[in-house]
Amino acid sequence: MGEILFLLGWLAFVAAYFISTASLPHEAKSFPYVILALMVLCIIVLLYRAVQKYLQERRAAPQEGAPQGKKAGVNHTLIVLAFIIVLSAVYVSLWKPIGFELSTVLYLLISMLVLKVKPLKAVIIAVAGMICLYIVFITLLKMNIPVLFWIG
Amino acid sequence: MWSWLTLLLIPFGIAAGIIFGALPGFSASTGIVLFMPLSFVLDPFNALVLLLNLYVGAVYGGAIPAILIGLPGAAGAAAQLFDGYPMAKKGRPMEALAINTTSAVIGTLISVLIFLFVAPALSSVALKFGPPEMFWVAVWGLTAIVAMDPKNLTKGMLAGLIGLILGTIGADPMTGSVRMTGGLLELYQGVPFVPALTGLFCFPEVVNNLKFSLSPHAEPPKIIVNTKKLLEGIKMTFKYPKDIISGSLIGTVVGILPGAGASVAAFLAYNQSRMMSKHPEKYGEGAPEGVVSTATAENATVGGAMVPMMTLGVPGSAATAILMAVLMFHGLRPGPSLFMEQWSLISNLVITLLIGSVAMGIIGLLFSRLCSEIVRVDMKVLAPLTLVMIALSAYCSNFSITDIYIMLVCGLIGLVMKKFKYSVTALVLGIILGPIAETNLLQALRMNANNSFNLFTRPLCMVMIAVCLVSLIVPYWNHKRSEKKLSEIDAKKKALAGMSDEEEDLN
Repeated sequence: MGEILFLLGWLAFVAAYFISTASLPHEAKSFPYVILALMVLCIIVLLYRAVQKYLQERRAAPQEGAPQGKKAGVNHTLIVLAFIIVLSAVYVSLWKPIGFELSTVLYLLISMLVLKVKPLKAVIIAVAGMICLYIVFITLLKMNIPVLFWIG
Repeated sequence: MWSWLTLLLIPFGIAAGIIFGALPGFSASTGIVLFMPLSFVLDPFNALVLLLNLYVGAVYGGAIPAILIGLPGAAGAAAQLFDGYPMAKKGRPMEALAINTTSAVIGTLISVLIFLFVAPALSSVALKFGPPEMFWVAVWGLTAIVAMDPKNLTKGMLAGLIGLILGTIGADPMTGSVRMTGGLLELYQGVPFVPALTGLFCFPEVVNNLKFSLSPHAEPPKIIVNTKKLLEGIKMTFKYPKDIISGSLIGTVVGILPGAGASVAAFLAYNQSRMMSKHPEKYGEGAPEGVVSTATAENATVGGAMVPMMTLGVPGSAATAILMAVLMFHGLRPGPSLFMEQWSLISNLVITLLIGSVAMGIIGLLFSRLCSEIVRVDMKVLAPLTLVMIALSAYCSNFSITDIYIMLVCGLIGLVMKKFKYSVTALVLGIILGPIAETNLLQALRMNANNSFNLFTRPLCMVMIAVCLVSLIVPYWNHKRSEKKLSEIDAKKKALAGMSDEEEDLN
């Protein structure tokens, strides 16, 4: 089912691209339109295969019966991974409001605690990691990163 | 010309270059720009020694984090993720780093020697590569998609097409019309390459490694880090002379072509190596020949890039453009006359580069020995740190927070693609080669009043079309041949099993 949604997503992207560029001059849209046409062809072929595979799996599923314990284990891992991904997005959005230093320490600390690293080890690595990155990227290389405290 | 300072500047430039190359988000051009003020106080020869060796070191350095943690320090090193990183993941980081270092040294040496002896001749051929020929060079690169996974050709093609369409986002090269940017200023110049690359390649790798380390039955590979493994890696490199030669030649030629760069060279050499191999199925799972071909090609672009810069005064990349500015600052005029008027300077510079390549080998191996310890770190600690590095890498390319979001979106696309077995590499090829193909195609059509005739009739175009056809047919033919072999083996096994059953029945 996931692959079908993935392909439908790209089909929607093709439609959005087509509509948003419809008013452009011929020269600006000729090359992308050739690619869009080829994309639609590939998506149709792959959608057909994915739907067939999905239907086959659905027919076979009631006979097999998935073990419940394994499913719960997979879900826990997926929840942790999804949390880390969402946390990464939140971390980036915090760069400007609270600065690179604080957001990095918080991000490293929370993610390591979620991943069950020992608290003391997590605190030391989070602080030391941030200091190392600060020294290399901000103090030495003078990179324009949003920071709370600038130590040049 | 030569002094003690020269001998000090060679290893210093190499070491600084390796560090800049290895730092994600930094490139050879950043390193050269940062050291440019120092070069102004040096004499022209020593200034060029420092900056050229820094350039050589930076091109090599990008592969070290790519092999160890799956985060390429530079775009050209992305191809090391195909086999270098899988080798490290299988517990062979030392061998992978040693193969990469040895191949890099050989690639640089060969390309620099080619530069010295055939630069004027090569530059005249490179001048004949107009937009129609460059369009076919891009198409040649795209044919690699067939070789990547002939079993899932439709999936590979869709991935490549997604890359091509993402490559068209932004202002179009001829009219400047804005396409599919969604109002984001950061997308006007196209999808930013570094964030897209780190997102597509590194983000899914980190998440998948984390997933593996979280699973209760995960057994981490036994990692052997010792000097013996380093020596084994050096020896192993010389088992693949064909890959060394083809990688060096492809790298030098692609380096000469303007705008192509190390990433295109590495991808093309990898494809070529897989095409020539008797075991193409091993590629992508830690094949040493994959590391050899990509490392030689990537580093051979150094000598190639110097050809148009020195002989024609045409820089092919940002780094060579800055180097050319330094040459001009010191009163040296790049162009056809430079080789005749400054032969002594050029030949001495080449000697320093040859010494620098060897120094790169020694420094690189020492550096590799130290860095390879990183793979021993627990993934639960390494993964968050790598994610911060990835965010910094995406940010530092344009100093824009939006670039990090672009990286995250590309990362999610990469994750989903990996899950459903779509080639992320094909997508990246599309992003790299799409703009080159479109720009040159439109220019070629405009050159001939929108008539596509010249795309097929120019002599060099015909050669390139033939090369493209070979690149398309050979991997497909190899795949069919290996399938036939496998079915023959299966049939033999079945026949043997049938015979043993009959014997049992008789008994």
